[in-house]
Amino acid sequence: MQVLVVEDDFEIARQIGNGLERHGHSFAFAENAGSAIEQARDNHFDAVILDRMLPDGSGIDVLQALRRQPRYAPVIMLSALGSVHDRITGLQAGADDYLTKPFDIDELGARIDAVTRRHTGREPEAGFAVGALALDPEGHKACFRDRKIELNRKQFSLLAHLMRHADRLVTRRMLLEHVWGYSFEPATNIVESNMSRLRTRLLAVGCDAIETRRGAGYMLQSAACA
Amino acid sequence: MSQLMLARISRIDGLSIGFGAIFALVVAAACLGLYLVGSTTIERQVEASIQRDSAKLVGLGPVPGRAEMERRIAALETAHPASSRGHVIFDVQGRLVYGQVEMTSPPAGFSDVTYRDVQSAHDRRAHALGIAMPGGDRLVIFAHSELAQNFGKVLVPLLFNLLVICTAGGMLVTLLLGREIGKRLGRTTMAADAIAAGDLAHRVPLDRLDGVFLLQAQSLNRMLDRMQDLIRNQRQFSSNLAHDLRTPLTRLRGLLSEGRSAGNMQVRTLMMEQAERECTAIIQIFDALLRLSEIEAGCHPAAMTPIPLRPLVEDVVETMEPVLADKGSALALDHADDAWAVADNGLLTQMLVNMLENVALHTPAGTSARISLREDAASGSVLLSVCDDGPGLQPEERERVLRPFVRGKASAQVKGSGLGLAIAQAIVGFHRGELRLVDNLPGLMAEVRLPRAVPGR
Repeated sequence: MQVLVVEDDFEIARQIGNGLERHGHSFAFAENAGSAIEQARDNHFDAVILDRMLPDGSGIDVLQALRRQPRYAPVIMLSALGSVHDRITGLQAGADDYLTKPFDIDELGARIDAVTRRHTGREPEAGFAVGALALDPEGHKACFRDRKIELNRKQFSLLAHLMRHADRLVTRRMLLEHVWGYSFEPATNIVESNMSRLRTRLLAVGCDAIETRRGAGYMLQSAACA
Repeated sequence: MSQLMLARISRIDGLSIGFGAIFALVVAAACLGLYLVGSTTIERQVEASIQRDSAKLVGLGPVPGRAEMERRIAALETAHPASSRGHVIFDVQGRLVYGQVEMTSPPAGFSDVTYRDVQSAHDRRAHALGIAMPGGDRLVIFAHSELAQNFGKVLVPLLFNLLVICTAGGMLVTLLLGREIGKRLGRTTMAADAIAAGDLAHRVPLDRLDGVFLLQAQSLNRMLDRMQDLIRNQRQFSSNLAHDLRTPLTRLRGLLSEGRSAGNMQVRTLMMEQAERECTAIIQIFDALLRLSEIEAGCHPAAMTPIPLRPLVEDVVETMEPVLADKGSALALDHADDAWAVADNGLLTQMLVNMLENVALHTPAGTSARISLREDAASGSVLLSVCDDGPGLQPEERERVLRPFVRGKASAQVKGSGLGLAIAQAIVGFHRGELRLVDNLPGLMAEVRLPRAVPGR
């Protein structure tokens, strides 16, 4: 994938570039708003990583300029402004995702993956079944092959999210945002503890599909659901 | 006395001259009114006495002729020899045909005339009434009043003196009053100047102040006490923050420098991972700080609507139960009424999560925590409580731990932002509620009281 990185801090830009290369993407840099708009107009990009505060203007202005172009790529906004208010204004301005600095490069990789799939419509709909693993929303139940288990509401939404993003990395932060809807950073291992419960429930019916990527996140392996 | 004080006092003097002038104008208006009312009253009395004579001379019937009129006048003057009124008759040419005075014929109706008494040969002023008689003759009844004549002569100098005295007195009084007010305000000014110069302990001296000045100074001193408290808290906050950051930063620097010289690749990787965790801890402190200031400043974009609290509490219990279980403790929902409150779902969730994280982080394994949600219809509030049977807090610690970066003695080494309860407190404040930490005998109970809402309103 071709990614445009709009970031005025050289060190952060370099780290993002290295991370993107590690994830198999190629990239171009723009260190200010003017150059970002120009590059986006003249080249095709699959995603844009946009810093919120740039030396010659606001990332929001760049975002609006990008949105006026005939073809536009999904945008992940990066910001040191981490308040809920800042996040909401970023998303309202049309950003596809909003990531607060400091962030992990794997986190960014997972989010690029998520927004590009959503953008190109390659995301599977419904997602209530992955292989032999299926969800029954009626009674908060999961079925694996011919065995049923009951889940509580949190475990059910957690599994649904993993199944919707099967075979893709889902980070802890993404789960807190999308499954719990938390805009704060918990001090305890909320995701880990709940994930461990879910995994135990699934193991009881012989399904060992949730893989932990140490320090990065989780992935539901569709191959293990066959 | 400083230049500034002089400037202030001269401003007060200008004010007193202004007030003196206004006072003088008011007194002048009062004098004029007094004069007008007095002279009008006298004139009315004179006219009334003239009309009484006119009634006696003319009566109810037609006005009699000259001879009959002369007879009636003579009878009246004989009956009232000391009367201050005179009666004369002029013929159609305006010549005096009856009466002992020199006067020119006045017009019909009331008018002012000047006449000369033949006996005394003095010119006098009088108020006169002209009445037409048959044959073109005219009866004139006139009344000379010493009081009316001298009213102006006596009253005008009197009122003028009063005006001068009142104006001068008024200016003097306002000047003195202004100076006294200035002196009292000067103390407040001096206190404010001293505080502006950096002496935060300075207060307005209350001795020799009374009335509104005492009340004002007391209220100002109370405000200063509160401000000093806030500044002290702010300083405490900054020094606590510095301490809380310095600790993980010191560990981080140590790890980095050790990692550089570590020969073993595996050891180096472990150190790097530990360093990352230290960074995460620092970032968590900043996230929590940002969150705290956002809520305290009231700029959190909250969706305040009436919400049912029971699903919210159940959701938090479902989320946090595995966290406490992983620590070897337990969490249960004790009791949940179908209570509603006007609240922001996300903020109340964070409040409960913070309280339960405190149980997870600051109590030993084996602790059991319980949540209850009760509606208190009598006081119109909702009571949310989180209690545990852990070691609890000393009474003096319960108040302190609500402040940022303050932890209980037993938890000094426990990681965490140190802001959990401060954020919970800010969230409760945002909802106009009340947070109390009480002894659970054994353990600690955090009790939140929120205003109750009625569904659908």
